[in-house]
Amino acid sequence: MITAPSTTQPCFASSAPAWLRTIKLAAPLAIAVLALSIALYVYEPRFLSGPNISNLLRGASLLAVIAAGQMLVMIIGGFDLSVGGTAALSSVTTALAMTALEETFPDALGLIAIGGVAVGLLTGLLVGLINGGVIARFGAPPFMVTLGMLSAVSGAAFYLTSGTPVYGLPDAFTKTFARGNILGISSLVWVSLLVIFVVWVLQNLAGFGRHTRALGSNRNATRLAGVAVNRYTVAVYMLSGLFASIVGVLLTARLGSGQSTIGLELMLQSIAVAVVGGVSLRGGSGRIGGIVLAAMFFSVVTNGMNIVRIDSRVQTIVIGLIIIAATLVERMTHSRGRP
Amino acid sequence: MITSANRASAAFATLRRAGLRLGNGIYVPIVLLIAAIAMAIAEPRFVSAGNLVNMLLQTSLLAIFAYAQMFPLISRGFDLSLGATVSLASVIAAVTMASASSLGEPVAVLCGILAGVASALLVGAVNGGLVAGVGLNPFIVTLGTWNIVGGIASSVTGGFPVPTPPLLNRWLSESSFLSIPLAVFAVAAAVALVWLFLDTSAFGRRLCLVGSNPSAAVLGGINGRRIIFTSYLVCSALAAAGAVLLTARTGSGEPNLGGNLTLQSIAAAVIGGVSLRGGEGRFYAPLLGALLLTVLSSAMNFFSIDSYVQEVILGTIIVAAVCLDRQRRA
Amino acid sequence: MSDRTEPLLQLTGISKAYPGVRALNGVDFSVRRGEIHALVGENGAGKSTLINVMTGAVNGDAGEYLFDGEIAHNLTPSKALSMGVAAVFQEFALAPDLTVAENLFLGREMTRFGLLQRKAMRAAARNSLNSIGFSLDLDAQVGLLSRAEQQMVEIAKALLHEAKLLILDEPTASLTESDAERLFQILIQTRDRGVAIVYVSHRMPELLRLADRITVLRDGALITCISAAGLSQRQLVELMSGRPADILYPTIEHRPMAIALEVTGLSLRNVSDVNIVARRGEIVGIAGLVGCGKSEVIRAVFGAAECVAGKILVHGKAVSRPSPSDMLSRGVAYFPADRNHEGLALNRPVFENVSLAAMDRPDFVHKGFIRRSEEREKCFAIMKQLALRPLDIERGVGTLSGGNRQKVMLGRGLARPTSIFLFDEPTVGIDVSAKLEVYEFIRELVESGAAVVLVSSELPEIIGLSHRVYVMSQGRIVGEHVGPDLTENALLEDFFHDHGTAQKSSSEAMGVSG
Repeated sequence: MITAPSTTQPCFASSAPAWLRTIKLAAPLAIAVLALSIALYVYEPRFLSGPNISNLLRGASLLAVIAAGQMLVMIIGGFDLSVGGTAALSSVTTALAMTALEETFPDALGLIAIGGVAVGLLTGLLVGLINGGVIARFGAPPFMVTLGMLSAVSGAAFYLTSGTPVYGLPDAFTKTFARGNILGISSLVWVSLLVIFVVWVLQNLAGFGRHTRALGSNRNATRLAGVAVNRYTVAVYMLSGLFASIVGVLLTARLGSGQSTIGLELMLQSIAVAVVGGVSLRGGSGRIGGIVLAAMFFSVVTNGMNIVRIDSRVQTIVIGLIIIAATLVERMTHSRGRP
Repeated sequence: MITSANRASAAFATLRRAGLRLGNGIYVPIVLLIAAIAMAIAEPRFVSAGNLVNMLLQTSLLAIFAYAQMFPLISRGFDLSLGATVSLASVIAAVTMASASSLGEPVAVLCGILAGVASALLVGAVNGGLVAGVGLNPFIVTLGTWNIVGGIASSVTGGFPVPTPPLLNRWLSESSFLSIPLAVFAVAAAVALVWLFLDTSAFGRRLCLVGSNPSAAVLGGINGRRIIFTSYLVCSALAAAGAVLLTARTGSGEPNLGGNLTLQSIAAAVIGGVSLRGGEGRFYAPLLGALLLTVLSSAMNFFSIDSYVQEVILGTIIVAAVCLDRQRRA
Repeated sequence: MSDRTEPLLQLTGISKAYPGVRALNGVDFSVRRGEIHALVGENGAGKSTLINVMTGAVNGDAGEYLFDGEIAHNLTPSKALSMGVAAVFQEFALAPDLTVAENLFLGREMTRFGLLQRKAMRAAARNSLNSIGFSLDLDAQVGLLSRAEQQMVEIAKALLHEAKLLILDEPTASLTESDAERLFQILIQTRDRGVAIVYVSHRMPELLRLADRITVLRDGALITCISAAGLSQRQLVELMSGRPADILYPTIEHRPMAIALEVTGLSLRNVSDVNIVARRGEIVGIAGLVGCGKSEVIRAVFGAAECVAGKILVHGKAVSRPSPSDMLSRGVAYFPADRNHEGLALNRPVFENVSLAAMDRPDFVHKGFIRRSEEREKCFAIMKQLALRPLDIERGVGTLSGGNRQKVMLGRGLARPTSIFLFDEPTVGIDVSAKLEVYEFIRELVESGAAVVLVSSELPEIIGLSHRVYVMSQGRIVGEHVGPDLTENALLEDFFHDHGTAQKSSSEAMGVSG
C-alpha cells in the first residue's frame, strides 16, 4: 500500500535549509582539524608558531586549488588522473618560456614573468581541453583517458627538460612574488583564495553549479532539460587542468625552478582531499567549503606527521588509509535516494 | 543430435566470430603485422635472433601483468594497486630469502617466493573484500591500496633494494632452453593456465557473465560477490608470479619494481581487446596487447626515440585505443 | 471545451524501427489546444516511442512533425522544450541530488548577467505551486522525496514553464486516490486554459473520465482515434487487445495434480498478506493493473526481492530465506520482465545464456570444467525446440530480436530440471508469431506436468492461458477466478476493487460495471 503523506501540509516540515545541512556535514571535519591542532600544539608548541602556520596555510592552499579542480570533475561523475602531470608540465613550460623570453627581451621583467605564467596556464587549459574533448566526444571512460594523458604529459615534461630542473627564473617571480606577503599572508595563499572565490561564485551564484551537479546526478535528465552537457564536460576538465597548472606555476615560483618531478602525489592528494571533503564518488554533490576544510585537514595531518617525525613513506600509507576510510564512511552514511 | 554439418558450421561460426572479435576489431593483428614487416625491412637487426628473443622476453614480462589485470577488468573493475603489489611481493620475497638464508639457498629461495606470493594475495584479498564484500568503488579502493602498499613496500627495506640469492637468478633469469629464457616458458605456462581458467572452467564462464550483466547473473544463481572477490585474488597471484620473475632478473628486491606497471598492464589489456565495460575477454587479448606494445617500443628504441617521448606515445595510444574501443561498441 | 481550429500538434505517418523491432509503423496522431487526448495500447504497442518522438528525444525514420503550423526538423529535447512541449515520464527526469527548487528550474534558470536570480525563481515557484495546490518544500532534496512527491515536482516543473503541450505518462501510477483526484482537477483546469494534453495510461476509468479523444495503438500501428464520449470500458479493452480474431490461445488441458508451490501470508514493501497456490499441470495467472504488486510477489518467491513475512513451500518443503540459487536447485525458474537488464548477458553468445543458470549441473560442468560439446549439444537442442531463428547458438544475444531474446531466456528453464516456472510479463515487446511460440512452449511445459505461474498485465493473455487467476490490487489479492467465473468482466471488476466503501461508490459512478 503506497503511503504518501497527505499533501495538505508541507511535505518536509523539518527539511533544513541548505546551509544548515552543509554545517552538519562540515562539523566532524572541522572538529577533527581543531582536535588534531590542539593535540599537536600540546606535543610541540612550535606547531602554532608563525612560520609553521604560514607553512600550513601554504600547503592547504595548494591542496585546495588542485582539489577544487578534481572536485569539479568528480561532480560530473569523472576523475582527472592527469593533474599531477599537468602541474609538472606547466611548471616546465612556464620555466622554459620565462628563460626563452629572458633571452629575447632581457629587460622586460613584467613581460617575462607574465608571459611565462600565461604559457603555463595555457598548458593546463590545453590539457584539460583534450581530456574533456575526448571524454565528451567519444564517451570514453574518464579514468582511462586521463590515465593515458598522465603518461603523455609527464613524458612530455621529462622530455622537455631531460629530467633536470630548469633554472634561471627572474627574481621578481621566484623571490618577490613567491615569498611576498600582503597583509602578512603569503601571495600563494591569496592566489588560492582567489581561485576558491571563483569556484564559489560559479557553484552558488551562477547556473554552473546546478548544471554540473545535475549532470553528475542524472545525465540523461539534464540533457533532456536542455542543458549543454558536452560543453559542461569540456569546461570542467579545462578548469581542472587550469587549476593544476596554477599549482604548477605556484610551486615553480616557490621552488625557484621548473621541475618535471612534481606529480603523482598531487593526483592522489587531490582525490583524497576531494573524497574527505565530501565529494561523492557517484557524482552530483560537492562544495568548495568542504574542500577548503579537507585541505586544512590534510595540511595539518601532513605537517603533524612531519613534526612527529613519521617517515614520508609511512605518510603515504596514512593517506591511503584515510582515502579508504573516507569512502567507507561515505558508503555507510549515505542514504541518498535515487528514483 | 548435432550432425557433422552442424559441427562444421559451428566451427566456422567460431572462426568467423574470432576473426571479427580479434583485438579491437581486426586492428591489432593488422597493425602488428604492418609494424613488424615495416621494421624488418627498415632495420634488419630488428628480426635478428637476439632481438626476437629479447622481444619475446619483454612481451612475456608485460603479458603476465596484463593477464593479471584482465580478471578485475572482466568483472567491471580494475586494479590500480598492481604496480605496488609487485613491489611489495618483490621486497618481501627478497627480505625473506635473506633472513632464511641459514636454511640453505634452495629452501630460502622457495620460502621467499612463497612469502612474496602470500603478501600479494593478502593485498588481493583486501581489494576484493572491499570491492565485492563492502561494495566500494574499485577505483578508490585500489587507489588507496596503491598508496598503502607502496608505502609499506618502501618502508620494509628503508627504500633500498635488497639483493637476492644468486640461485634465484640462476633458476629464473639466466637459464634458458633452446636459448629462450625460462621466463618465457613460465609465462607461457601461466597463459595456458589462464586459458584453462577463463575459457574452459565454470569459474571463467561465471566471471564473464557477472561482468556482462551482474543482475542477470544473480538471478541465474551465480554468487557475484564471490566471483568478483576471486578475480582480485587471481590478479594479485599473477602479479606475484610476474614480480618473482622480475626480481630474478634484477637480482634484488626493489621497492619500486612496480613503477609504471599499472598503467602498462591496463594499456596492454585494453589495447589487446579486453573491454573496459566488463564481461568480455578473449584469452589471447592481453598477449596481443603486450606484443604490440613491445614491438612498438622496440621499434622506437631502434629509432633512438627518447624514452620520455615513448611515454608520450604510449599515453596517446592508450587514449586512442580507448576511443576506438568505445566507437566499436557504441 | 476544445478549440475546433487547427490542431496544435500534428504527427503524420511516423515510423521508427530499432534493430529487430518495428516500434512504429506509419502512425498519425494529432492533438488540439484545450483537449485531453488519451493514448492507449498494450505494453509494446509503441506508446513510449511515440511520446519520445513528440518530445524530440527520438526522431522518426519517416513522417512529418507539425507543431503550431510549423514543420519541425531534427527535433531535439531542448528545441521541443522551447517550443512548449513538456513531458512527465514514469522514470522521472529529475536530478536526485538537487533540491526541488533547483530541479524546477533546471535548464531554464532565471539569470541576469549570468547570475542566478534566486529570489525571483523561488517566488515564481511558490506562485506556481500555490495555484496548482501542491505544497512542496522547495529546499527538500529530490532524491529523498517519496515517489508521489517526485511526481508532483515533475508536474509542477512542466506547468511552471507555460507548456503548450503537456504529455503525461502513467501519472497516477504512484499516487493515492486523493492525490490522483487533485491531479485530475489540475488537468481539467489546465485544459480549460487552452493547453493541449496527451495522457497515457492503462487505467480505464481515468481515461474515460478525463479524455476528450482516445487514440489506440497496437503493435506499432494506429488502430483508431475516436471520441471518448459514450465509450465503455469493454469497448476500449476490445480495441486495445484486438480480439476476437487476432490471437488464438492454445487450448491447454487442465489436469491439476499435486501442489507444487504454496505461498502463505507473503508480505513485502508494497504487498501484504498474499496467499497463492500453484499445482502441477496447471497454469495460475496473477492479474492486475500495473503497480499492483504482482511482479513483486513472484520475485520475492524466487528470492530476487526481500520479503518481510510469509511462508513458502516448494514441493512441500519449507524455504526459509529464498535465494535464486536455492530456488533453482529446488526446480524453480524465474523469468524477469525486463529481459535486457535482468535476464540476459547481451554481449555473450546464446549458448552461454542458456546454460547460465545450470553451471552447477553435472551434465554441463564436470569437476569445475565446462563440458563443451555436451553444453553445445544440449543448448542446440533446447533452442531448436523453442524455434530460435536463425538457429545459431554462437551468436551474441544482443544481435537477436526481442522474440528470439525471450526464447533464449526461456531456454534457461529447460537447461536444468525445472518443475515450477514463474513468468513475469513473458510476451512484452515481442511480435505475434513469437508470442504464439511462447504460448506453445508454456503449453508443453504444463502438459508434461510442470506448474506455471503467469504474471501479466495483458488481460486477454491471462484469460486465454490460465486455468485459474488471482487478481491483485494495491498489494493484496482481491479475488480468485476459475472456470465459468474466469471472464473479462469479472476480472475487470476486481481490477478496480477499492479498499474503501466511499471510493467504491465513486468508481461505480464512473461506470465500472460497464
